[in-house]
Amino acid sequence: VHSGQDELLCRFRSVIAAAADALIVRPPEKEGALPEVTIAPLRRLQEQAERYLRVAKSPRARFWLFLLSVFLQDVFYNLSGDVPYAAESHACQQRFFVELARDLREFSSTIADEDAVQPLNVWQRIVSSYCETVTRINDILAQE
Amino acid sequence: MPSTTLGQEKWHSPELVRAVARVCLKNSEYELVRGGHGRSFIDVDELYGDKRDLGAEKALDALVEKLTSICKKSPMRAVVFVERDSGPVGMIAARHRFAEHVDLPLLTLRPRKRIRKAVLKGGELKPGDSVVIITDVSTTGETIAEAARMILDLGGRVAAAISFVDRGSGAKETLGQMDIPLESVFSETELQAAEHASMQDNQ
Repeated sequence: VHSGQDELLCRFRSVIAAAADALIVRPPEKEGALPEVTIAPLRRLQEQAERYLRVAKSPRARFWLFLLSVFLQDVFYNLSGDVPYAAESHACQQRFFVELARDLREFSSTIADEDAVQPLNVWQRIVSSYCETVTRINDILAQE
Repeated sequence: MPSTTLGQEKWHSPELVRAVARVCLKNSEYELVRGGHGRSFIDVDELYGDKRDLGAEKALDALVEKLTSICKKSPMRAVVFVERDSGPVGMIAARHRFAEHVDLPLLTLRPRKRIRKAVLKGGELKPGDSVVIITDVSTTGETIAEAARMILDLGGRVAAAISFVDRGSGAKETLGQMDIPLESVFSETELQAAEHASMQDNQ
């Protein structure tokens, strides 16, 4: 823990990084293809975020843990379960999770820092990517 | 006997109304989703199983009867239940009772779903399909109105709505402006009066 860093968030960094790594089950078989993805690690991450949130004391830790937990709940509510299947929309979903894995890794490396600009930039990217994915899936399914 | 929109005496025997009030009415301070403040919370979920064996669950048959009567008057394409902000409960849990008596698809509308094709569960609507919405409690009517707008957006139209309990807080007027007649089995006033009478009897 460096000066200005939040101790709890320092511990939570490794939880996020581990979840981000576990999202990708298998690398792409050929160039340009998508890797195999599983969203199960995100569920564990969301549960861990809730657990950490219960003991978090600093406003910064509470903010990031709450944001992460609520965001993941929204992702699960909308992108898991009974989303009608179409190959193109499924690929769209997979791409989102690949991008999310990359962004969560970056988030984990900056979350504990005193300067919130970097993690906020990552979150703008994450939320934007999520909204674009939802829009794209809706467009694809409307044409089915 | 307090007036109700259902107006069928068998569903308004003092015993049944008292049983429903004892099971469903909870005095507490709470915030209404559409704004405002309430003092008596109506928890219809408590009807299922009716652990105290007060016979309140049979009041659900009044809803079934109401639904059958509406469907006889004007043909419906489906029955729609609306998932609440707090989760998929309310009248959804009683859908098996409706399935036994009405030969219509029972759909669940999930307004918070971001994927449009996942908003309606259990089937699809074709342009012009008429549906009836069943809900547990109607207050301002805004939740049903929002669901009706969503159904319109999906191609259908809400021809009628039924609530188990109407609070008498503007739902009929709100829905009336959209040409959606709202029928209810009990009124909140009726349940409160029954609870009050029970308390007096116990003193």
